[in-house]
Amino acid sequence: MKRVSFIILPLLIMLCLTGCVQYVELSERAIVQSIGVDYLPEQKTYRVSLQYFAQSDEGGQNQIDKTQANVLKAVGEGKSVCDAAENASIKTGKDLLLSENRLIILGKELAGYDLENALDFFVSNYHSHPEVNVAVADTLAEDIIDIRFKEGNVSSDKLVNMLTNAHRHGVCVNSSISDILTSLQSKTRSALLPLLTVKEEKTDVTDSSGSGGGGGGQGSQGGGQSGQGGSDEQKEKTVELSGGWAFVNGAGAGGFSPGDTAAVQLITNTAEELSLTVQAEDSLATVTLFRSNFTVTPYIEDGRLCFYIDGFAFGRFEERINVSESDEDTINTLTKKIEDTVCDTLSSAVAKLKDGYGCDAFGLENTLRHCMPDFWFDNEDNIPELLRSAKTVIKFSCRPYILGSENK
Amino acid sequence: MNRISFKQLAVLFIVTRVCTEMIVIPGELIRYGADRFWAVLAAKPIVLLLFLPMLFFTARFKDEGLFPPAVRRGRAFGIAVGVPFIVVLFAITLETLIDLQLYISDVILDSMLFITGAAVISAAAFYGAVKGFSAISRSAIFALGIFAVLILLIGITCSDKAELKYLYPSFVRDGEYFLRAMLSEVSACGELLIFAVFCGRIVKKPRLAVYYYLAAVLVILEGLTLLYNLILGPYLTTVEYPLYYISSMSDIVLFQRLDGIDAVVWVLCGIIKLALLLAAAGEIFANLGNDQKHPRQKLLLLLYTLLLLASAYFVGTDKMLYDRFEAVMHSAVPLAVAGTLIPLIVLIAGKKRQGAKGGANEKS
Repeated sequence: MKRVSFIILPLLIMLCLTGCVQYVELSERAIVQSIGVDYLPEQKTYRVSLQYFAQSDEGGQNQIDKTQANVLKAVGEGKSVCDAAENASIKTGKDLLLSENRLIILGKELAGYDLENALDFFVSNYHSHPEVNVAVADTLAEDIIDIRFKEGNVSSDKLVNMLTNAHRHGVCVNSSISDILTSLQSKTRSALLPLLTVKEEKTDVTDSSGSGGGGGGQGSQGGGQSGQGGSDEQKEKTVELSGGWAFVNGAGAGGFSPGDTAAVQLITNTAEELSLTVQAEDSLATVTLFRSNFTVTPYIEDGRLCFYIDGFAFGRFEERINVSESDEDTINTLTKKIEDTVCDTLSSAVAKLKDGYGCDAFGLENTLRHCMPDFWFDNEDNIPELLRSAKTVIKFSCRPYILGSENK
Repeated sequence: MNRISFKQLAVLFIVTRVCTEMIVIPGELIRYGADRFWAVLAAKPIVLLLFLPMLFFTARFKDEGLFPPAVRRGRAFGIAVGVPFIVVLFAITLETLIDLQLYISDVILDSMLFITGAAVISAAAFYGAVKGFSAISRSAIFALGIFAVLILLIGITCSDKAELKYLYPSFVRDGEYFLRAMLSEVSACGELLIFAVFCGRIVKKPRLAVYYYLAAVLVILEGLTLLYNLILGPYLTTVEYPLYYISSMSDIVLFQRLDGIDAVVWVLCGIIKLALLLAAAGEIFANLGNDQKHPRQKLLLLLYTLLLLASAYFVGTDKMLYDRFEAVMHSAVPLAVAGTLIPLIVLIAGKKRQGAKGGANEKS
């Protein structure tokens, strides 16, 4: 009996202890799906726009009603990102839950300031997911948050899927918050973010009834009129991925093209596949590079730091082209064209990002420290200048195969 | 008296040591680069040196903990060596309790009152201590199993995030940091005191538990350092709890992040460590009071736990006081005094049981 009471008593006490801990019910939480952060230089304030899950739109207790937009919007302003988010939280009347957040969009104005400061709020909050995607808008981040997509369980699904798919195809840099913060620790404090632009075109992916409204924390409830927005003949706002934005010394340095993104993906071995178009005989042919492997080797030549970038990839023609399997000359010419095209793309990206902006987009500092640690430690204070002035030698070889030929 | 094998003790020590690694904010102690690798490597021979008096002690006094031979020399002598020992043991227990509560409020319940969390942890640990040394060691085996599964899952899910270029060959670059990291590494081995108290409870060859523990901890800590460097790279220096951060990046089908499981594992291990430290205190009270089963011992242990809770509240809620306390504990001096100097004194002055033979004679 003594033993039983010895076990039951602490259990009862522990049950009562739950009342000593502050807790928030799920219905009292704003489950944030995406966040837009803007800086308003005239007012010197940050503006945080939250797209959060509308629990009142649920079809059932635990199900999402896909016929509804399912998201609300709230906006808050403050002297810091944290302050602005706090104000937005107050307006929603709910406690912010950042663990489900999938996307952080930074306004173009904010991209000119310190990136690490802008992201600090999301890093210091342990509940925020370190793999959340970050992107830069070519306008106000709020404008992108305003656009409601019909696809996905919630509107932000569409943008996240777009970024993930583009990354897989080599046209979007990997932009998770942990990757960005890691690359910001380099001596050049470099980072690359994808750039989202707002376009007006005929489309049926956005929900016009839900897009564009709901400022000041009022919360615009989207959806409810399925198909109406899509079938409208008028142009609608949608979001497009157009290259990226380079950061040097933690602040925005300038934009870069999808071609430059592809070059970064290839050199850093993060591209799964990459498509490019070359002239084949009398027509254009699309070739997809896959299983690419690049090695970067630093060396010193005449006292100058140099990097030898050597890459290889298999190529697959996506259309049947009129080349005979025994026509080695034509195949060699095609291969040469692919190799030249890739080399040109890589050289152009290196010239723009490394030589132009001084951005260590290709992880050259890590390579240098990995291969020549003594040199790195001896020149620790001059790494940004050394990398910018470093010479790069690029070599690329490709082994294409053509459907129906034996050249595999 | 419940006894365990040296393998069980080694597992118990591994769990408590790795737990310390996880719940203490490593901030300045785990940095990107090779310095920590060398600090861990250099610390282990020093820890072995600190263990030496206890290893000799186990050879001389078979099947006995540190205090019975001291009490046999004289009650006053037993109390004279027991008091400084228990003060250091109390300090280590206090440090563990505060660190565990701060870990919980950092990563799980940020709105929880310090005293509420500390009270729940202390109550759970007290229950473990009352259940006894053998029960605690069994729970440690369970905890180590969960840790192994967690590391396996993290390894699988984060393999694509590992970047070999983050690694570079280097020797010690920052001497001051190396020294600080090494001393902290040495002072984190509070298992030395637990070994001193419980070495008599090991069925045979207690010294093997120390060898296994040191070798396994060396491999685990170096492996974790490698993992942190490979996945976090230069960002490691700014991360407070590296494994927690890495597990939050792990996305495994249903579980989009493993940080919750990671936190639960280390809270569980922290409670096991606290229970072990409390059980060690209870054992000392029993040894010095010379009565193993008297209910007074439990009451004394309860008072000790309440004192611990009160001290944790005062030290843990005053940042400056806590920093000073941490600085003293991380200097490795308290551990060296209680874990090496006191066993050395008892080894020299302790009195054998009447009729007990020396190790060599017994063997022959």
